[in-house]
Amino acid sequence: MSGAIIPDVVLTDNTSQRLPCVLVLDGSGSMAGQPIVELNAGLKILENELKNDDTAAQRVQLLVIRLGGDDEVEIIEDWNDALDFSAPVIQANGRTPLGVAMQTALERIEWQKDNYREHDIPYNRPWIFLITDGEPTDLNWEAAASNCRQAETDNKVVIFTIGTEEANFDALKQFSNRSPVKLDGLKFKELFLWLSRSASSGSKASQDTEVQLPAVDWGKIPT
Amino acid sequence: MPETVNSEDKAECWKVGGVSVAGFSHIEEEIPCQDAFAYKLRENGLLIAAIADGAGSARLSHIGAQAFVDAAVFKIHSSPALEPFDPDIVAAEIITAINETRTALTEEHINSESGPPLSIGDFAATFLMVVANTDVGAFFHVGDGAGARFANADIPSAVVSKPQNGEYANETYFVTRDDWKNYLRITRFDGAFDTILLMSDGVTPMAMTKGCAEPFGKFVTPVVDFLRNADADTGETALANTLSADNVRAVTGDDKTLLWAIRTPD
Repeated sequence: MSGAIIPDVVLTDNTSQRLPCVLVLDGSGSMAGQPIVELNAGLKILENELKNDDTAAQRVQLLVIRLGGDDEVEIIEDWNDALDFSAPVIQANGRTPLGVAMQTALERIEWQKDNYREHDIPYNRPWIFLITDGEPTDLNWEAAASNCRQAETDNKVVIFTIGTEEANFDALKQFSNRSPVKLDGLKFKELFLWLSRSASSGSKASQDTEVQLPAVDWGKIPT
Repeated sequence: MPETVNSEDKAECWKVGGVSVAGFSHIEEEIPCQDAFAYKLRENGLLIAAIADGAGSARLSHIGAQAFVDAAVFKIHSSPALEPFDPDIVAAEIITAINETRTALTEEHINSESGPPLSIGDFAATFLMVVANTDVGAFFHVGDGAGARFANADIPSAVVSKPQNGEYANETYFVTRDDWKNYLRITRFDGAFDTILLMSDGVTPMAMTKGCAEPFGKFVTPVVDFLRNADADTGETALANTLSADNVRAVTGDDKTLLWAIRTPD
């Protein structure tokens, strides 16, 4: 008898629970060359890792925002389940409108929460991952950064900021209540592997307000 | 462990049982199963059953969960006659039991001079209880998980005590909060029914429809039919195996508890 299960039982997840994640990616001119190549390779790893995780594939939703051009912010990939996510190829040219990009991320998150509530879809606290190699070039970025910290304080979102060696960390640290992490060289692949494992843990988190994130092996917090 | 009752007792009108299985993520992280359940039947056929789900981050929540359900079930079982059924009187007894348990946990663990410093939050657990006879009853509920009373042949008419989360799916309410009574929800039911289920949030994704609107027939009907016809050990073993099946891994790694009370034919 041991091992036998009840016959004819259908075992499916009926909840439609979602963990919304926004990637805000620096596509400015300084990322051209090897940095953007490594970042794009990292996005491919993210796609594969999430698709190989049954729970994360169904629960993680991704929105990809690129900043660059003439202080432009574009939605590269609108909200999509990880199951259907196809890693975009980010171009590198132009400037670094971090303020507008993060403000866009905050707005898109609130709209998506309205969408979830309208359709009775439970959701986890959304995450934003900001990855940049420079400093903000748009006017009023400080106001946007302040809005980001307030949104975190108000429990609306969790923001992770990551900068390469050349990034302006004095500016970057204003976008989150957590310390930014400095990427070790061009370890974008390791970063996105960590990101996928974090999202995977977050998608399964139950009754915990603190998700246990994997150790950071791709960077360090600058002092 | 089904209660042994005199065959003349009205209690024999219920077939009651329960299983708790540790979730995959708990096994992998070597965390004990933090779900608990308890039940008793009174001679007059009153069903008294409770489940609790210990908070994942609370290191002694498995102790808290078991303490709360044991105390509440014992309190109701040993209360003076609860007829006619009055959910407010039952709720008052439950509140007393929970508060007495909070005090007992504090005295036994928190105020002891040995061991690491603890707080009541280390025993955090949700709580879901049903007290019912064959005609009328009520759910008493703090936090997530779900209770359902229904006729297996008429699931859409189920009465459900739904989970209560905060804004976020991984947030809920525990009986270890100072203001826990503000989150106690009472759902009364009567009418025709033959099945009552209590389930923790590791089971609701599979056993309930979206939004926990009603039991999900393709899970619940085969399970209830099997449990009605099987003896206690067979039923509990098969259900535990089902909740531990490999394809459940893709749904949730959480602990899973399902307690059932099925009316037996007169």
